[in-house]
Amino acid sequence: MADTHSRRSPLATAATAAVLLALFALPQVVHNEYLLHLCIVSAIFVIIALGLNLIVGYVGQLSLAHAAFFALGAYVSGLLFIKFKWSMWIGLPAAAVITGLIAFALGWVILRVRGHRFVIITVAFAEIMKLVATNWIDVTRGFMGLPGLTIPALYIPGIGAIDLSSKERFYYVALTAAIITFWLCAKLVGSSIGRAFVLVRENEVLAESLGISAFRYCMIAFVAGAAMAGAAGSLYGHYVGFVSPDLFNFSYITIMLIMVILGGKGTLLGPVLGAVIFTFLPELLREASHYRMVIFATILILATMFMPRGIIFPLVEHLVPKRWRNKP
Amino acid sequence: MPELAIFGQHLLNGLLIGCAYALIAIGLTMIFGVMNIANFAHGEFYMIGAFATFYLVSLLKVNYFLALPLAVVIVLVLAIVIQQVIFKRLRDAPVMTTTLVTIGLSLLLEHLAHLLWGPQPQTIPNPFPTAPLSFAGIYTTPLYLFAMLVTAALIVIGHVLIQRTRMGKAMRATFQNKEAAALVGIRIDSIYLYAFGFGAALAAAAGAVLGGFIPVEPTMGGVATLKAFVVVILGGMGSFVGAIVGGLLLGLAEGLGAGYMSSGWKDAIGFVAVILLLLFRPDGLFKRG
Amino acid sequence: MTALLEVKDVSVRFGGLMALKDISLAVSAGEVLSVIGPNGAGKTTLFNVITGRVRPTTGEVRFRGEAIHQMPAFRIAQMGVVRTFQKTEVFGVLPLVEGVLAGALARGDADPEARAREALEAVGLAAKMHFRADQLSYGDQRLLEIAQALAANPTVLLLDEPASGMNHQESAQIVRLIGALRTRGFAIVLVEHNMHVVMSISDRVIVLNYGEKIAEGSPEAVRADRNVIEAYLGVPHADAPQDTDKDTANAGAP
Repeated sequence: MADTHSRRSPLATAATAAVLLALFALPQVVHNEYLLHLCIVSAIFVIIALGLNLIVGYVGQLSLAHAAFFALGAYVSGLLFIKFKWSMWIGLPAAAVITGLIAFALGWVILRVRGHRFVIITVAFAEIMKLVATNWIDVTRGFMGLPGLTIPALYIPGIGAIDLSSKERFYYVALTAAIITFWLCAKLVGSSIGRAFVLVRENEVLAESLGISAFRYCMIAFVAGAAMAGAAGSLYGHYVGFVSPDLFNFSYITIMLIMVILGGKGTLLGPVLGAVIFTFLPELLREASHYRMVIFATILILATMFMPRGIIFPLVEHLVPKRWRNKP
Repeated sequence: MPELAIFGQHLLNGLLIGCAYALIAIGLTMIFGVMNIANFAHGEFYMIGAFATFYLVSLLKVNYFLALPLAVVIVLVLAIVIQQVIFKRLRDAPVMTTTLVTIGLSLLLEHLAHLLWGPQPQTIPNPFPTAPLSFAGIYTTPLYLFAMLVTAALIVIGHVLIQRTRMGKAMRATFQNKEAAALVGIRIDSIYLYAFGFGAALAAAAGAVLGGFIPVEPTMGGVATLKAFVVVILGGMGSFVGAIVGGLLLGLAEGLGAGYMSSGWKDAIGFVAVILLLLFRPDGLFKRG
Repeated sequence: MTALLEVKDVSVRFGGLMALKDISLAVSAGEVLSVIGPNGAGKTTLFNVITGRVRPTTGEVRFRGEAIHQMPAFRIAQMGVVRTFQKTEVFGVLPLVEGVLAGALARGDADPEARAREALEAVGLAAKMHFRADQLSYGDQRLLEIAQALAANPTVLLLDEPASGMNHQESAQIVRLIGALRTRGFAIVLVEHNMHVVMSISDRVIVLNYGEKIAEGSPEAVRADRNVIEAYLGVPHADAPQDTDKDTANAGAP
């Protein structure tokens, strides 16, 4: 919702500045490699969650193809690196664009239907992508995957090449990408397009009868979300250094959904918090991976049934003053 | 002619899986039609049916032919509990809510299975002689024939139950028009229970029977769910005939595909068919029934 | 006066059922055309055909001479043919302004909020602007629906039972509102069961029964028409219109 009538209070601006400062200062204070790793992965998942939130939270369609777009982005970027030696600086935008185009083509066909059939078809698409990655060995090398992806250096004229491969340095790359994504989402959500998203979600039939094309806005959310997932995939692939069909596992979409739903769908901060918390949390329960999934699954069921606004965001809403949040 | 025999062999290989798909899909399409729920946890009933049979036969030394219905009953009880505790509360909930809940349920059951039974694939012991039978150059085994017989019989029984019994008719009425059905005196909660239980039981039966041929392990439910959804979409969501024909067709197509293409790609057949279908016939191959 | 909206020989078949048979009508700016008939006569189907939610089996619908019956629903709305629904449709949890601006947003209006405020004022809900739609009373929600339609800057308004479930005072308010809209130049097609409202405000009336048009003419002529009386056999006399209220309607609101 475009809160055009509310002015950002000085408190809100100061708080935002403080948070940004803290985020940028983090590697100076935290030197633990493992924690930095989690921060990097969190940032990448923030991008994914924000993208998924556009489709699930704002227009209100459950897309299970999101993880496939993430994996696709990783493959695009990885293939460009392996075949043409193109660095992530090209791979990332290419991943975003190509994934966006694929989402456009897919959405053109499948966004004609919504509800259950849409959900199932997104699953079918994800499965096809997985099968392609696994079986098209000539291109994707199947389960051998694409190894050896590296984090590129940053060339600044006059200064030379800055090595970004350390965790401290790459953290800044991931953080910047996450902040840019957040900013883009905020702009989108605050615009007429964002308002139309919400109208389509709240009552599609009514919105159509007043002249809003649900298809058009679902497409915008779908493609934008997919492009973000693709970009995140590129980041992830280069960071981890290896891209394989495992990225298409159902567990990825599950955790993405948990981040968005439990974090608070339809808000901007909810998925961000969800991404961070559900990156760190599993690590705390690391050994008990099946126990952990049982617990998460139970929480997902209970939260969906009884807490449709999520857990994390409503909690935060209690604590944070009204004016500086974007309301759904 | 050897080509004909090979062709026939691939068809036969696909026939059992087709029957299994049909069984699982009937339940799924019914749950969708009556309760308007896309049950992503459906394959887990199939998986638990297989595991229950395995444990009954292998560990509790129950007679195979007794273990099959027993396993179905076990899953039925589980399904009833789930329906009463969860889905009863979600009766008119929106698509996103019910779908997320079934996804959560699927995860819950799959990982519980991991915890309870471990990841090791199991096979249900074969009560029949293992010597292959052959006719006209096509090979099969007694267990296979038995399995086909059972699944085919269950499909017929399922069809009869839906078309002829009062409960079946009531379910179909609820399908068409929930408010009218309620007005006429049909108790919607009972119908939901019946539909959900029935669907779960059929899936469990498919698992119990198929567990003699394929590895029984916790992740087998996921694949089954996907295939069942493919069948349901191809056949038309809510169409029983569509589920049966679609299941058989998919099974046969995959049997041929596995035989003539690499088995990795055979899984793609169904998924591609779904997307193609949506391009040309958005309402499915059959009308709702 | 050339008709703004024309329905020409439209038939709609659903499976074995003929929902509409050879229906023709026309409505011009500044005119109120009422469509009445027993339940199941096809009135809502008619609206669905005009607004693109249902495709006619045969026949066509023209708006300003242009055929619109194959266009997607949202396009038709953008062109200026907007409807309300029989079962109240609002944007649940949104504040009134956020929902009402939908139509203006759809047309790319530079200031959709201003449009929304104007629409809310026109129906008398301006004071409740910041309420949530689902917090309004039933009567207010029906008015809200009209505001939603108005903000879409329509030329033709299709109102589906706007007075249903309303008491005498509320339906009088609706009658005044429709009169005001007519004065402003809208072409209005009204589906109504409330004969009081129909007789007060209509310039012309069409009667549907089992999907067919059985009468057309002025309210008085239709009221006296034999076929209509037969179709409505059993409808109590209490629904017979009071002539005096016509003056209220024609006085209109400013």
